[in-house]
Parts: sequence; structure tokens; C-alpha cells
Amino acid sequence: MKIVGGVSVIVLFTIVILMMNIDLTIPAPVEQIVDRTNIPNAVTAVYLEARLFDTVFEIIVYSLTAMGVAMLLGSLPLRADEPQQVFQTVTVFSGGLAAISITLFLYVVLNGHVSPGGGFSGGVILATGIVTYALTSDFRKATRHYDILRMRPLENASLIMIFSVSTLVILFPEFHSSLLARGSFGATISGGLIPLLNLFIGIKVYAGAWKMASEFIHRRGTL
Amino acid sequence: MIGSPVVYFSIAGMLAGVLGMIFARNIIKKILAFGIVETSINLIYVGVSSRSGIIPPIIRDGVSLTAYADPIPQAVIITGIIISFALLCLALVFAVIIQNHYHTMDVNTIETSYEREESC
Repeated sequence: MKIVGGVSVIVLFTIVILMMNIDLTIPAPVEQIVDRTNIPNAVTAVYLEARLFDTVFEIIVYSLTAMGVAMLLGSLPLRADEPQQVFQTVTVFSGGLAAISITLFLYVVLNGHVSPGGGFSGGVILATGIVTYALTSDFRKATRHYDILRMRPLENASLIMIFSVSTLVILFPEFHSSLLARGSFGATISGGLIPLLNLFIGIKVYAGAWKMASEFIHRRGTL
Repeated sequence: MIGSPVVYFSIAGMLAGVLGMIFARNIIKKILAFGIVETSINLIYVGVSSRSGIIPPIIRDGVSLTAYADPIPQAVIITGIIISFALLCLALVFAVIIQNHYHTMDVNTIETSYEREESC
């Protein structure tokens, strides 16, 4: 049965390669997009302005995943709280890495419309730093920040804010166009509501990623 | 037929990933093969949207607009990345649940113990 499946996959891919005819001379729509949004990063302009409706559903998928992981892992027993084995050198480096990742998060998120970056990548950068710190140094200390910074209400508030701002942009495009036209091209404070959306998406992605990673660590233990 | 070698490499990666998903017996290896398929699909988009001699679509002064890469495939692939991330997370959760229940990751062993449970 597996052999039949493998052979059919190879035949299917051969047909795809023989039939494939991708035109590599794509007309560049950069000019229209940049004229419309007045921000330098054309990719951000596409996914937070022209295809914003699609991005809202991406956020919904992401939130559902975080919820599903927390719910499904909630049915499993918690692992006994064992003392964590750490190397002192790694502890020093991972604390510095977490600090750098916080700075990089703010830079990437707030400059997402001027330089490469945005909410998704910024959130993943911050989550990587904090998860590395939790795995290599002190998981309990890393868990505590979730309560101290009130990440749970902050995550829900940023989700609501993403929906509200996106609805505003989708329902009143003239208002957003006037906001976009007011900012000076290439400045950090420009781009209308796009930096605000980037910031909320970054917080949401970070909170969801940390929630999922900490649920896994609670059930399976650290390294 | 197309000329970009990146597209051929990514199709080869997709083929390897799908074959790995079919033939691997360990669930974690199946999930890793699934990750290879997703990365190859992302690479196809990169290969289609990039050509030699073009620069990333961050608009700068003094560069003609035709010199930039097409931003549409790059923006579209964000959806693909999010969906693949969600699928990987949920697959790993189910792997954890299966491991807790059957104490193994081998697909054949899980199937035989499931059939034994069913017949009991």
C-alpha cells in the first residue's frame, strides 16, 4: 500500500514539473502600492492595507491554535516540578539574549513600515528570546513575567484592538487614506494606523507563542 | 519549463517530504517531513518572486521602481507560514497525547495496540 502511495506521489510530481510554466517576468505593481499607502515597505503595505481582511483571518487562526494547544494539553497531567539543570555560562548569555530580543522586538515592530519587519516577525523574535531564557536559565522566573506584566488581559486587549482597528480601516478607507497621506514618507511616525496594528499583532503573536511553549514545557519538562 | 534552479530544488524538497511522510514510521519524523514540505512550498514562492539583479521592495530614493522584487508573493506567503505554524503546533500536541497514551512513537505498534483495544 505504501509502495503504491510512493509511486503515485512520484508520478504526480513528474507531471507537475513537466506541466509547470511559471512566467518569471511579473509586472511590478510596486508603484501603485507605494502611491496608495505612502510607506516605503511594500510588503507591509500589501498585507496590512490591501489584504488586511486576509491578515485578520490569519490572526484568528493563530488565536485558535493557541487556544487549541492550551485546551488539548490541559487534559494531560502536569509534570512534577523537578529542579532545572543549567550551565552557568549559558545562564549569563541567555539573559543578555533576552534583553537584546526585547530591544529588537521594539525596533522591528515600530519600524515595520519603514524597514524589513512587522508584527509577526517581531513577536516571534521576542518569544524566541524569552523561550531560550526559560529553557536554559530559569523556567519559573520566565513564567512569572506572564502574571507580573498581566499578559493574559494584555493579549485579549490587543486581539480586540486588532479587530477594532482593522474594522476601522476596512469600513472607512477614505479616513485611513487621509491619515496615510498626512505622514511624511519614510518617517517612523507615519503610515497612519499601520504601526499601531503592527504593535498589537506583535504583542498577540508573542503572548500566543509564549503560552504555547510554556504549556509544552509544563507537560514535557525542560531539557 | 522554467529556468530558476530554486524552484526545482524546492520541488525536490516537497517530493522528499511527502515520501518521508508516507514511509517514516516514527510520528516525530512524519512531523519533521511535514515541516520540510512546508519550507519547500515557501521556497517555491521565493524562487518565483526573485530574479537576479532585483532588490527587496523597500522603496529608497534614486532607485527606479522596476528594480524591486514583486511584493505580492512575499505578502501572500505570510498566510502560508502562519497556517503551517498552526498545523505543526497542533500535530505536536497530538503527538504528545499519543505518547502519553501508548508510550511509543512507532506507528505500527500504535496501530496494533489500538486494534487490541478495539477488540477487547
